[in-house]
Amino acid sequence: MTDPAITRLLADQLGVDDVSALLDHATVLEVAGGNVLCRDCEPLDSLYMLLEGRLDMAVEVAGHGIHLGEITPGNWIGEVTLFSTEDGAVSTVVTRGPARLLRLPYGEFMSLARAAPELACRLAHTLNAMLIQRLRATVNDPILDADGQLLMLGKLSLPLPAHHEHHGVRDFMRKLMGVG
Amino acid sequence: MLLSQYLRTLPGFQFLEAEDVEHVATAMRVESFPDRHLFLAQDKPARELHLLLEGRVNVCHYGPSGRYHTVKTLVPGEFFGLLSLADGKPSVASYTAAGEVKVASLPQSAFLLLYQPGSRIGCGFQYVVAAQLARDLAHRHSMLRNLLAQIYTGSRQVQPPCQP
Repeated sequence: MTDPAITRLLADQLGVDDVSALLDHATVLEVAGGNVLCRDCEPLDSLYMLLEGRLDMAVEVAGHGIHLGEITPGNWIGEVTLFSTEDGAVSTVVTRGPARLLRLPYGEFMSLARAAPELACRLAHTLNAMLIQRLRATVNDPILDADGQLLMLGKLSLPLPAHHEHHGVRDFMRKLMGVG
Repeated sequence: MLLSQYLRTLPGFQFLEAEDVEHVATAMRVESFPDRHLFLAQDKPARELHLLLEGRVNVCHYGPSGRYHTVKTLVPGEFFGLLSLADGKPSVASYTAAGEVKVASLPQSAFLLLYQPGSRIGCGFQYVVAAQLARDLAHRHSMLRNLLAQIYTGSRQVQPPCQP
């Protein structure tokens, strides 16, 4: 896969120049609006990075749900199932309109971790930043909106420039000294 | 059991070389704490990464509505203080010993070095962090499902109330 826009997006996100090893393990999907990418508690076998469009994320029980928020381009889904002992997805994710996604099956991620460990762990670092954002966004109780829909008020997605905020000595020194 | 041996049994540590696990264990300090010891207060920044070795730790949160509730009760093998250390923001919850506990603690400076993905040890450590964060988020979603079930089916939640 040689789409320059995807290559640039991943390179910026992971803080490296060469992301070809990752792209070798991934495929691009075009998905229509209203498509369920994963269903809460049902099997999930891949990570997905949203390239274009919007996704809605919710937890569900017996047809009832809590809307957790919106996933914007550059953000990944499927990381909880990859890194935890959960058998299935921990939320339902639906495309709000037409969307373009990068799919990286879990088995391919593990192959990448063996073949290009630094790239895989940089991706893990990026996924950690997203996990942190989602934990902060869901810590409070949901509220009931005017339509009777339960929803969380926190912001679920990281803006694009924040993805590689954690890299580098300067950031490390800032954190250590408690500034910025 | 040696701390390094124990660490090797935890999720994510399989991605670290044996000598790197030793380095992590060497950087940690093991101590016992009494019942109700406050490790980290909500809205304060974490200064250490803690690993619960024995006992239980209650994770409690004051919400905007004024409700104080137990988000989670940690069991041995779980890290805490991670969120605040990793993003440099105040903690979203308080962490208090529920009975006597034994905890291994890693200083903030060591954590920040390990959390850089550019070194071999930092590379492997990303998976340790990921395993705990994923466990925490899966648990949070599970609690939200419990809340939904409580609202729509009347079933009760299982978490005990917090004691301020």
